[in-house]
Amino acid sequence: MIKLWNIIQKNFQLLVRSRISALIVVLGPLFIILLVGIAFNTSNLFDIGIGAYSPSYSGLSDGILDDLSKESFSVVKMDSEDTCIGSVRSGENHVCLVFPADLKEGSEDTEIKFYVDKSRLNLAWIIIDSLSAEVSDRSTKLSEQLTQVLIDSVTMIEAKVADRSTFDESGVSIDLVKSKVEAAIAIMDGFNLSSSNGSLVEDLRTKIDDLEDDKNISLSGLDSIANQIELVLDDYEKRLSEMVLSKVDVKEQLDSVIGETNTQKTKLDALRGIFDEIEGEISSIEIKEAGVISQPITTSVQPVTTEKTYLSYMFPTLLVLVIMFVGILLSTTVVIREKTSRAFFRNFMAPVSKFIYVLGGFLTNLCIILVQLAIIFLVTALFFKDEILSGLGGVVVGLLIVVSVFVLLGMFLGYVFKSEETSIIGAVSVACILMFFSNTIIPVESMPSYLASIAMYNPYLIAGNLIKKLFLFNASLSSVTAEIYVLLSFAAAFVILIWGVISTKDFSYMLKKRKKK
Amino acid sequence: MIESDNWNIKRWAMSAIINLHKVSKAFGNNLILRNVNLSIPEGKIFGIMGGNGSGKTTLLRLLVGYYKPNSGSVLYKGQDIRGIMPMVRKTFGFAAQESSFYPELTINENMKYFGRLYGLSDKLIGENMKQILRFVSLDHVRNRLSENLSTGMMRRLDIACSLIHNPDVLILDEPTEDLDPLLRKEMLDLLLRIKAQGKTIILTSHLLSEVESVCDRIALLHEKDIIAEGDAYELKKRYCENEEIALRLRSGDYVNFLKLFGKQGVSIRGNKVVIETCDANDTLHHLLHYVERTGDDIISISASMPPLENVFEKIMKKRKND
Repeated sequence: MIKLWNIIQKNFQLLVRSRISALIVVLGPLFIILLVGIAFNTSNLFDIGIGAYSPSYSGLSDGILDDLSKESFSVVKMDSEDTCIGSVRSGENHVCLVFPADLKEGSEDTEIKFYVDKSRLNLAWIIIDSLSAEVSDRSTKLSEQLTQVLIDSVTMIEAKVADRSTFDESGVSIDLVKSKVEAAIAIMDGFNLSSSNGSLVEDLRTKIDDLEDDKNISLSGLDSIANQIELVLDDYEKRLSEMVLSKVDVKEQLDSVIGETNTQKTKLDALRGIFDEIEGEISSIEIKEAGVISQPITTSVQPVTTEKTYLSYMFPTLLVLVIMFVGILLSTTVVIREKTSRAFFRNFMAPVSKFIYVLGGFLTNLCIILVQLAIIFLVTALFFKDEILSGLGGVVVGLLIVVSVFVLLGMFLGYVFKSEETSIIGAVSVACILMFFSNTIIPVESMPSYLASIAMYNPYLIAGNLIKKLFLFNASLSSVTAEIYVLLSFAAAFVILIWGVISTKDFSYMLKKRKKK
Repeated sequence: MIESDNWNIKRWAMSAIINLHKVSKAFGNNLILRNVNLSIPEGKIFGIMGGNGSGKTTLLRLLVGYYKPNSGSVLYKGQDIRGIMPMVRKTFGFAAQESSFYPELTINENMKYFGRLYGLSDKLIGENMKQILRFVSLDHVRNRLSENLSTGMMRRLDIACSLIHNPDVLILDEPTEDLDPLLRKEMLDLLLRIKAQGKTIILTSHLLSEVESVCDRIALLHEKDIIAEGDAYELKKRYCENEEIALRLRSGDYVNFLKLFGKQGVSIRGNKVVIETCDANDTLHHLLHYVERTGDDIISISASMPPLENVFEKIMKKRKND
């Protein structure tokens, strides 16, 4: 244990004494993280140049370009389609948008063409995605506007149809008329002039006759009155007779009105039924929002985590990338420097097991990278404290495993290669291969199936997935056991390989090489 | 002569701490050592001499178990060293041809680091370090970074690192290589001081004359084989019957000596004439008489055994003729 501590202490002393190495080893990754952090700590696209051309700009095409300008895109109108496409080829613009002439909703040609330099693969897809989203938004807005007009009309009709007070009032009026007519008929039916009134007139006549018999009254006068009354009564009687005759006519007419009124009422009832049916149909339309009608099925990309910046999404990948490169390169360098060190032979001569030297080197590298990670985490905590603290325990365990795997890989390379130069080239090559056969450049799924099936066992890919799950999704360690077991298997394999190399390889060439120097 | 060699080997093997028995080593098809027999006595300085590429370093690495011999065995106190490597590592100290320490660490830090590797306590390391650094005259620069030391200091630090665990056997590969004459002398003095502490020292060199002065026993390695072994006097007696008379005259004119003694056996080395002779007394008498006749003045005159280089040359010639 003392010997192990002695070796680790010596390694750190050597690192500290070589200040440039110390700066590169310790501060290099931090500097990379800082730069990347500054570069990607945003969710926007900046300074993306868009060339635009249309034979004839319309309000709609100008509107789309205005929207793009507001989204931090740099929009430049070009003179011709060829110039526009050429500007993409020359790198002046990142994308060229070609609008049809007089673009407006409902016109025959509404296709907007995108010309993108796909050789800049990632950027191309980001731009296409971003512009498509912008144009799609605009298109959706237009569609919503048009649908809204239709919806408004239907809604108004629905309101009008729903408003049937006129019908009701008409119905009431007709019923009133009908009742009044019926009442009139009833009154007219009540007139019974032929029997009761006739006896009255007869009584009046009788009384008048009695008066005529009374001698105290001037007979002439009375006679005159009686005559007049008689005349009146005669006239009245005559009129009543006419009335009776008219009554029959009126009754016939009123019966006709009642019949007609009943017919109209029946028709109105039928019409009410139709309106009820229309109202029922319109009411049965449950969706009355233009946005929903214009896009009955909408898609939206929802993050599986809370909305974050590019940096937070990239952080796990970036972290594993830095661990991989630093782990491999640092370990390779430390091993090869020890092998080519002047003290190599004296170390060999000391009564210390090779295992202690390997373990000492491993722990030194592990400590250095863990210190770097601690600093990175401290700095990163300033930006997203909650994300880091929430699953820190699992992330630390995951990182320990990941760092161990890449440190052991680097040490293996260090023991395999003979010179510092070849070992560095070998380490960089291996790191690049691991990076290329992962999702960092292009998705593994887009590779040929046989390569993809191999790449699925890429320790860098697995490590990236592990840290992503632990960091972004706060996954528990029990849910990532598959990744952990695979990585531990890699670590075990590297340990066996290292042991195989140092047990079988004759390192005496290191001494010969140094002598030549 | 072969019988005599075998007798010598047997004699030395009796008191030897390390024995090589018919050791051969090859790297691929390149044979470096062939059936090497060697016995290294305890408490002495044993020099392995040979030209560049003669296999000296390979032989040393076989001694410490760094290489495994293709055939034969290397024994330490009668046991095959491959089977007792932990003990060998604790008992042997090794200073390679090139300094073997961390240039980025100070002298103190290097010594502490290697001391701890040998499982010594910090207290013991402190005591040893103090003593050793004073011994190798580095105590005044103990906190200096090793990369800032002079070549001589680096070589001494290397030896100091090799001594930190107080080894019984110290192996030095070309300890005087790249050192100026003054530093070489310092180094040789240091070796004698270390030997005085009862340690066995095995060293290699191609500078025969210098090492001759400190080695108790010498093995000459040439083209994969040990071609001769013994102490310097033995070797000279065995391979060179003549003695050398070196004469320096005031006039510096040695032309007549060539006429007088013939070109055979007379050579001019610097400002001296050296005459090889099988009868030193008679030749000396002739010389003095001749100088007296010419009236020249003698600045210096000496009679001695020939240097090891001559022994080496003789052996080479003999092997060619055989």
